Amino acid sequence: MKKKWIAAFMAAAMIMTTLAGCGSSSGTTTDTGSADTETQETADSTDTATGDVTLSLAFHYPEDFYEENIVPIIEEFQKIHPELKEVKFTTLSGTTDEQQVTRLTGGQYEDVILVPSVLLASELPNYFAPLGDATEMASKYYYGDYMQYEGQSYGIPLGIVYEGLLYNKTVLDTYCDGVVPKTLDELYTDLEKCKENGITGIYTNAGSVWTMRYWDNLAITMSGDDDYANKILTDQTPWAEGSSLREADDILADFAKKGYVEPDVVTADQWDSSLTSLGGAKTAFMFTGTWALSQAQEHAEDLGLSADSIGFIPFPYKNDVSSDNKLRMRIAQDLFMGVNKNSENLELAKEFCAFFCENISLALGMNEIMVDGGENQPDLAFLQDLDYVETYTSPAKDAKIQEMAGTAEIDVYSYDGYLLDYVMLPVMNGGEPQYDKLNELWGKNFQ
Amino acid sequence: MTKKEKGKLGSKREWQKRKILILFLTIPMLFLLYFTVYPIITMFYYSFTDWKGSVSPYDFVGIYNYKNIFTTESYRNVFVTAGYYLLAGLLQQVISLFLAVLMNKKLRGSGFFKGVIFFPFIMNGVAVAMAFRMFYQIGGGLDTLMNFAGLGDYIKVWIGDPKTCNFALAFIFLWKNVGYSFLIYLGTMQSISSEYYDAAAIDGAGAWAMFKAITYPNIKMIVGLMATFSIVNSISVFDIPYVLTNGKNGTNSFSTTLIETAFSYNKYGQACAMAICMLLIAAIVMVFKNIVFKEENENTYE
Repeated sequence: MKKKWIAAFMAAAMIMTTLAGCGSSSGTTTDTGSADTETQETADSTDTATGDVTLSLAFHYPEDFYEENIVPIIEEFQKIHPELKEVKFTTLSGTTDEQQVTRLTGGQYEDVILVPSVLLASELPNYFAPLGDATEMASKYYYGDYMQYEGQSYGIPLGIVYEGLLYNKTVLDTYCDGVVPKTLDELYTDLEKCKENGITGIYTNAGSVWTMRYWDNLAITMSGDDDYANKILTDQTPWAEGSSLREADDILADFAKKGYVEPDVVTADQWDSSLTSLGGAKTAFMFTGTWALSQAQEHAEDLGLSADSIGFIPFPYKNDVSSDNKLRMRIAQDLFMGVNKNSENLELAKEFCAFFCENISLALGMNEIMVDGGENQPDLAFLQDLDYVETYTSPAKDAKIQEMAGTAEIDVYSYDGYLLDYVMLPVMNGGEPQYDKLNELWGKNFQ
Repeated sequence: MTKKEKGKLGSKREWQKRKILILFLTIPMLFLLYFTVYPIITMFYYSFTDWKGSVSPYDFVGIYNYKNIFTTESYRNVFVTAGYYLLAGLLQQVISLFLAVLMNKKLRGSGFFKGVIFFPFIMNGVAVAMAFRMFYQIGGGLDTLMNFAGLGDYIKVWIGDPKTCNFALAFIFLWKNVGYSFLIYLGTMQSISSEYYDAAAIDGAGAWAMFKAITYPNIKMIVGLMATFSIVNSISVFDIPYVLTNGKNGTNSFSTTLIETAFSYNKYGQACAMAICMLLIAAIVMVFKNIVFKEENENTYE
């Protein structure tokens, strides 16, 4: 009797759970369907109704940034679209990329939201609404086609930056005879002098992982081929002798070997300590994007130096530099904003997303994204006067790189965390960079 | 006749009781099935596929994912890492047992000491890891202490050096969890009647003899249980390596590797296989513990 009861109960429970599973999945499909139709209805009705539409926005800066810099943008936008009542803000500050993906898979996320950089390009259409034809977007915005899948663009960049070295002028004046390096040899001389004086030459921040992504982009710069990154799709040994990828990584390995980098490269999340170190004249250089310039200047001011003491130069990767043989510097994309494909006010959200990205860049310490008439950071205006520097943008990285990176478990052309495991740590422990191992792992893609 | 009637009445009342029980149990059981059993079954299913996450299509790959765990170098390293935490876990048992024996005596200020020992356990794991980051950093707490003790020459880059990194992290694990096993041991010891100790004292038994003949046999079961926990925990340790090193420098544990495989490399199928593998190890350890300690339990009653 007892057993029968339990059996019946279990059976009922099982049926209910399976049904619950079916119910939820079919539920979501109908939901999305109706959401789409609703969107159109609301888009039509927005012309008549005023002040009752609410949008939500989520990105990675803290709450106080919202009050100061986002609210004015929203007010501007409301002048064009009076039907917009308010934009609710959620900060993603302190959430990891993984957590952001989890939020997306959970299905409850904001109308306009930061696109997590670890998301596969093929996954974009599952969460984000297409914002337009990729080539068209690219003609309008720098890197407008970067977040593309099957010809459609799914993200607009928050701003664009230059990739290069932040440096502390005070350190260079005190220990390096004020030489701001223009060539690779000059950089080495400076780093050696820093080491002799107990100053960290270059703070790599390798433990934070995401801070390493500039090194692979340096390979694109060094190769002279703007589309170099996509060559990895067909290259079975990308780290072969003489390849730009290996040359760029070799510079890093050399720095690590000679002890120019910070002593602890493993401890995670040293971003703030690195800024303090640079601002406080304990570090000479940092290889990053110009978006960090204002942060570093703030740290310098807090530590009693002037904001002027932090400067920016292109990475001097070669020795023969002149106006005929220019130093290339990459204009880099930063993070991207996308639009929730299930947004109740899809059209308005798309417009707001574009408006937001067009206007937020300067506040984030970046240059504006518009190809025509985008404003630059005033601090960086001098770069255009340097006759030995030329800038370039690289075409969108193929979505397949990410998949291949997953197979090989090497996050190449992404966060470049592999550099710590395969290049820096082996060298710092008395070995050689493990390029053969990297080639072998990458070779898994061609088996 | 009366007996039969009584039986009938009883069964009716029992039925009533059972009905209430079932009613009350239904909802929690549904929750349990839907949020625990169902996900595990789904995970088991996905562990045989090359699922890349969300709605993308997938193929069945058989036991390929399971084979990978033992043949891929970076995955295999998790067992080495687990070794360090296991060592710390066993050391933790010895230390907490020792502390519990001390505290079981009527010491002055034992309430204060109990608080101090237990406190690390109730602290948030991430906060503990952050605190230790400052402790281990160059010129941080540990370096200062060593300089003070005149051991300045032995200072290393604790987290950066692959030789010391795992020891440094395992020590945090030990420090944080001592309080937990301490509390369990102390609780069990205090349930032992003091008459035994009084009798032993009259017979002239020393402290060690008392521990060996009275305390230990009474807490044997708990020792086994705590040892099991420390094995399972050493495999699944997560917050310490994740916060301090991102699993770099050879510190990747089962959990950090699993997270990385799933979310950074989008190999959800592989990650599911790892999770199932972790579950299996925990289950095997539990079964093993039950076999070993059940037999001993019977022996004590003979």
